[in-house]
Amino acid sequence: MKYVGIIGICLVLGSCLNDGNCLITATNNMHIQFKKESNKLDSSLRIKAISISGTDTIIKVNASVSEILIPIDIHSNITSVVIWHTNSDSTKAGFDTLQVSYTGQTKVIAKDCGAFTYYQNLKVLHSNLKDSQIKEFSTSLLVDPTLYSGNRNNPSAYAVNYQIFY
Amino acid sequence: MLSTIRFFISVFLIFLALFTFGQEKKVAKAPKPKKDFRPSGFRVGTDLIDIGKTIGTNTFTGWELNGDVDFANYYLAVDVGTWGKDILIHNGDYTNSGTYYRVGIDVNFLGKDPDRNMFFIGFRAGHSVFSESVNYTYTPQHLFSPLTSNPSNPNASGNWGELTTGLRVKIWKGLWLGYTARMKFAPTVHGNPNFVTYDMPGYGVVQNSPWWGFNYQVFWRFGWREVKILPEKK
Repeated sequence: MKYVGIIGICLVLGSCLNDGNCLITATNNMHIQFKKESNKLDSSLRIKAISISGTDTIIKVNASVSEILIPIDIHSNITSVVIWHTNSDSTKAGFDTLQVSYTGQTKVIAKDCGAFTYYQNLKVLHSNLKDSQIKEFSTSLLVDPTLYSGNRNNPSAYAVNYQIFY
Repeated sequence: MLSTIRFFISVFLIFLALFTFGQEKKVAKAPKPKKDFRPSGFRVGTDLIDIGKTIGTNTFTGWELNGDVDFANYYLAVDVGTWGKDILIHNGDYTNSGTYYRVGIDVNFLGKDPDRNMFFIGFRAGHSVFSESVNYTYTPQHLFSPLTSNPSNPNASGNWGELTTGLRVKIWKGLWLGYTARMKFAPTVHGNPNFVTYDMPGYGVVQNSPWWGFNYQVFWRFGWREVKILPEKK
């Protein structure tokens, strides 16, 4: 019976000393929401494709979306994004550009989890959009893995970085 | 009439009892002996756990020297040490190296022990100067290729506080053994803002506060005068 207390103390101390679960909140996905300029409510934008500097791959979307995740270039401190879109009846096409800068902060989470880069100080350098069309929210790229809901591309799990008004 | 006599006798006896107490002699209290705050010697020691880890593992290199000086039942304690770690992490490896010191006071609760053995509780303020680097590969979710980077934090420094407790036991002549358990708290680090410090020499994993430490120490005491141990109160 006397060993029960000792074992209990060891368990409590052990729980204090272990590294715990790996909850990684680092991401390179920038979360953009689209809003109607007239009433500031959610708005779907029919996006045809997105091109991102640092990769030759063009992301084909061909869907109406109210929010998207755009990966930033982890090999650079600047990423340029071009979003091709059309109006709802596909009669009018256009594109918008967004160039952002950021810094990376290294953080070792734990021995068993590893090290990660946290992207922060997100700033719009250039855009063809008017200043009033871009509203900045979080300047850090962060994700809450507990909100993935089975889909790592679920935008709701990511901190909102910008709202763009059309 | 009889009751009146009884009443007066009772009153007389009560007064007699009061006078009896009044005759009790006041015993003069012996003056409380003054504490002698002059130091009687100093102890120098080292942490055996650090030496064991340095010899027995290839992930830790370090040593720690410990010293204290007595001022009655208060001890000025100083610890100086180095530590370097080379840790394999999930996606790379992390290394650090640095020196640290701690300064504080221990209060001995066995002040009347004839051998001057100690059970103490104390406080320390710690300071560390160190460098750290990590080599790791960050694999993004999609689109971009993995990035291997090797950032460093070359001129970092930090502070923290500690609550300590432990024992010091005289083994033979000047030889003492003891242990110190430490609860470390409130770490602060200054350095490269793009590198979040993982492990601070002298403290440990900075993200964990409070954090724990333990030293098993061997000391040698150099004394220069005898200290009269005050008798136990009876």
